[in-house]
Amino acid sequence: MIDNCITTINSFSNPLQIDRCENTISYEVTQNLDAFTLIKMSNHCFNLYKNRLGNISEPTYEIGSLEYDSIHKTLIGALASYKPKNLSFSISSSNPSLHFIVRLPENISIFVETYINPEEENSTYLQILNDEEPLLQAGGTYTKCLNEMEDKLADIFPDVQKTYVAI
Amino acid sequence: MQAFPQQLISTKDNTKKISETISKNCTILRRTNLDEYLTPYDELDVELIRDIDLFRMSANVLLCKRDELGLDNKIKHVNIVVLEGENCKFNGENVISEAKLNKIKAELKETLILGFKIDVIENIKGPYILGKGTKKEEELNYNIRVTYDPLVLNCFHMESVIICSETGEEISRSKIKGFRKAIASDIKVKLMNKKRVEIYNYEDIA
Repeated sequence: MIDNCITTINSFSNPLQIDRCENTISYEVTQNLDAFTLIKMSNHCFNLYKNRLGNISEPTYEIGSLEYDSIHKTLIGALASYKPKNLSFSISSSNPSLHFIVRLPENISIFVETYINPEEENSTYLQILNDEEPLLQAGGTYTKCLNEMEDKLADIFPDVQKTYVAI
Repeated sequence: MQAFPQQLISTKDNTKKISETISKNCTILRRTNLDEYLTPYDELDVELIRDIDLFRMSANVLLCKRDELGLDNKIKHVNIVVLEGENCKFNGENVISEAKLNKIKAELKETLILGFKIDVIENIKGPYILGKGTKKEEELNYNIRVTYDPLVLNCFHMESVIICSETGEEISRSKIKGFRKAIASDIKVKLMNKKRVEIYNYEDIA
């Protein structure tokens, strides 16, 4: 059925919908974030929030910074092939943790939280959701969670050609 | 410092009225220590939801029908902190005397206020594993219960607790380790995924 209200035009390769009845213009920006851009976004957030670790203690800052350095590179390296639409990072100071949110196409979201504790081994919690439905909940070491995430994503996106991204 | 607002004092009348008015559509409010709540990439800052606060969270109710009821129930009341004076549970009888009230010192914080719809909070549930890696490993589920809990100096006080669905017992607020971390992370995911929080800027509501 033809909608007499809506006209679609292409503007800089993005479809722009003009709705004359509602008097609105809408468009969806299709972002393609490469590994280099994702690293820049992650580091931008880390620099903004890293003092939260320093305010707890020097060992927490040192361990947290080392963990961040390792986690953000391996996580982005593992996800870059899936064309992430967004990445965000923040730090919790109450029970110190490093917290990543990555949004992938097809309503897939990934939450990774690594708790920093100078007195014991760090532990990670990972969840993959399709919109609101949990597809994977994993806990334990970061490496174990990363492996489980990679296996699950290979199931979710069977057509994605996984390439190793060196960072 | 400022004088303590009299409309927050619990009495038999106002606590009865509030108790009868609270519904699942009402919002519970929690003060934060933050001025910003979004990261540069438009997601919620995890600092907004503190793990320890999830286990027995103190909050104020923002009633849905506050204007109709003639109750002076303001968002900013949650940012009032009692500096001197005891704020114990209200038992229906221990209404504070005017002499004691005059001695109370309070401060109004100027930080962001966080709000959750009661039904959003009470719909959060999920699995957890007790005694992971031991012989007594047990798969259980948690849910959240929000209750009215008036204090002598805060007739709008609410409390949310995390409950083991199988036993009905509260999962206590002791050190956040092991399965408590997993529960806290899961709750944060459920709130942050769809940004199921309401944020009130102090400057906009004062």
